[in-house]
Amino acid sequence: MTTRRTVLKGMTAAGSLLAAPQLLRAQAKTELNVIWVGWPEGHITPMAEMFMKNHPTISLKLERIPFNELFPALEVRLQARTPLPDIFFADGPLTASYSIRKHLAELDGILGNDLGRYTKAALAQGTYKGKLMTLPYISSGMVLFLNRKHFADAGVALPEPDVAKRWTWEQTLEAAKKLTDPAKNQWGLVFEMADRPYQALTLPQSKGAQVLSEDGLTATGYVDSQPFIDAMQFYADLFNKHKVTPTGVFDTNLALEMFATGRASMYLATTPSLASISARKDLDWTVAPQPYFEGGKAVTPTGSWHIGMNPRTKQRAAAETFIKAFAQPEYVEAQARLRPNPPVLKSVWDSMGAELDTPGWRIVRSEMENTAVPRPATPGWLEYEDILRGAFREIQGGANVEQRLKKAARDIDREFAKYRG
Amino acid sequence: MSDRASAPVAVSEAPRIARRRSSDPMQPRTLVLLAFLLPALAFLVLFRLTPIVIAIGGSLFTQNLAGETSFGGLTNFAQLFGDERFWNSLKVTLTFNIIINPLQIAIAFCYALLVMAPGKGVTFFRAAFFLPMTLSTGLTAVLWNIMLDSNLGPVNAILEGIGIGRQPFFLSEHQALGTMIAIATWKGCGYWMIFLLAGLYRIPGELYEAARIDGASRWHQLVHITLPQMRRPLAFVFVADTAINFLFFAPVYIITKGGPNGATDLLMFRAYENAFTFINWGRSLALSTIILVIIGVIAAIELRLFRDKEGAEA
Repeated sequence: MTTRRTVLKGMTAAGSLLAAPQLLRAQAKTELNVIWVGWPEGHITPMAEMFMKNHPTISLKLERIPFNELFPALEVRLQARTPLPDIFFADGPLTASYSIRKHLAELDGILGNDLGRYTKAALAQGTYKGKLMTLPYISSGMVLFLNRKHFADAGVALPEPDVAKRWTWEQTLEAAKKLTDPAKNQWGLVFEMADRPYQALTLPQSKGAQVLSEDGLTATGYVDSQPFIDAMQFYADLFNKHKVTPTGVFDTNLALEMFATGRASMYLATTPSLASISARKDLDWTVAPQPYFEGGKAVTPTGSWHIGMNPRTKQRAAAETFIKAFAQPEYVEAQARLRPNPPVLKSVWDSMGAELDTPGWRIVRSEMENTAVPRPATPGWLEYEDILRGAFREIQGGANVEQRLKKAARDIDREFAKYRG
Repeated sequence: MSDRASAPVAVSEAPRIARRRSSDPMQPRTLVLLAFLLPALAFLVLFRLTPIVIAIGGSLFTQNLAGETSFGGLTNFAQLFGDERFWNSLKVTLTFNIIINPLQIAIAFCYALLVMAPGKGVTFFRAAFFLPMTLSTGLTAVLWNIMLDSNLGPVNAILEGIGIGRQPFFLSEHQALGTMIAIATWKGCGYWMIFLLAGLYRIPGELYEAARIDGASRWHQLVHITLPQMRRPLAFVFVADTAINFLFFAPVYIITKGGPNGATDLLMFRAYENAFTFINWGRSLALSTIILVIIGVIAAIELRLFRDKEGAEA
């Protein structure tokens, strides 16, 4: 006789049989929790899929955090000192800060000794006290984008896409004055990262300023040095005196849109803009190298995105597999094809030779070999950047440059006290 | 004599005994009440009181770079009191609150009076005044940052068009705090209006009717009937508004980062900055504790002021 109990037993048995393969598969897979910077999905998902296809026993749980929120979000997660995230994206200059606070596992033993294949600046940013702490992934560089039509209309000769014929900042200012037309809401020059030290520090560096002490722990005497003040006074005058640059444009997307829609004649920006601007078919544009100060030296920014491994991860083997995979040239190349940032591996510059043989990329490659200066090495980069950003914003808003930089130097030194120990 | 003396005692004792009985924890009714209250109390303790205790406790500890904590006593407070930025933040926070709280409540009260009267289109105005409250704080900050942008913002385009000239708003040391107060007021007034409107509806119509018969003007009705009757709702709105405005944070984080030159450097932003940028949790918790104490003191003063008046009137 078929009782209700018999039916239930049968259903349970059938359910178990059906669920068993899925359960086994789920148990076999290791899930890695990865925090990735919030690039467009098309720049990230194919990389994750590539990894999971090559390593079917590992699944990735990706969390994309917008660039502006990434660093505070990472602070919250890492300060909790839990096993998650297993893997996280780190801005190069933060390697020292994370290392000191024990948020990074050493990678030397994982990658072996073949580190000479990385570009010098990228490797330096991932290294702390002689040990590789974060894996260099992609780098960055800048070029000056130019609106050909604006130059033609204003009767200004275009600078050439040749590092040997680089304009000075003084020449750039004169051109910007002619290109600025308030009646058309057209600005001579726009910066992609107008308040970020990444971009702005290259001005004082071009004047010969050292932007931080050798040990990376003192700002007074550096951030408020005369060449630093002079360079930032020039910067402030672009906004307030000459009014060739709009104040308050701190959003990178807004800056890009201003150039792409013909509101800006010159746009100093990183290489991902090459792709965005190329997509605007109605825009007639060209590129030139970043200017330098007359009597000074050519300095351009660089800095790389790195990958860090949480030392508290419970998935150590899978995390190491991730690090090893993303150190492979095919991953670095695949990422560089998706997102136009300079590759960190020398070999990829060669394997992508055809794609990177454009005026913009030729400038970037030359800059990376000759003029690119990474951001200063300091365990207090987070504090240094935040305080200087505030100062740069206010300088654009009309604050007294010398007083504001002296205040910034004091504020930075106060926060650096904890690193001097 | 003894009968007359004992009678009132018996009458007055009866409810007291009844009350005592009902609060007996062994009574089933009390147990039922407790059972209903327990989940809410548990959440209150877990999500409100526990973080406060942790914050106060944490402010007495310091953490080194490796994350090891040690008892530091009042070290964090001593560091703060010796820091010029703390005193500037305290001054900015108090200035912000001294202006914004009465301003918001005065405007919210005017809104409530305006939309209380029945009339054509009153629902539209109620919705219009309340609408800003439905926007998230982050979105409000982004929206107004664009609207007031010195070069690209429509507000400046209008100001230039009518001959006033472009204003720096958030970029000016002298205008930033005022602009911040303006956008917070734009967003918050509609919310407080709802509470005040509910209070206005509770005032008996007979009071106004009697006043009209006595020849009282609208102004006299407002001063002698509406305001005294609104003491309780106003007390609540004052205390709640004060607490919320002392915790004002998102627009500062999104728009000014405490600048220019410390003009919007509110204590709450400093607490965030110390925790997540300067990696100093102890100092951050000390700042949170100071904010908590200030809110507590001001809320107590506000309640006292309203209670005293109520007592005097009674």
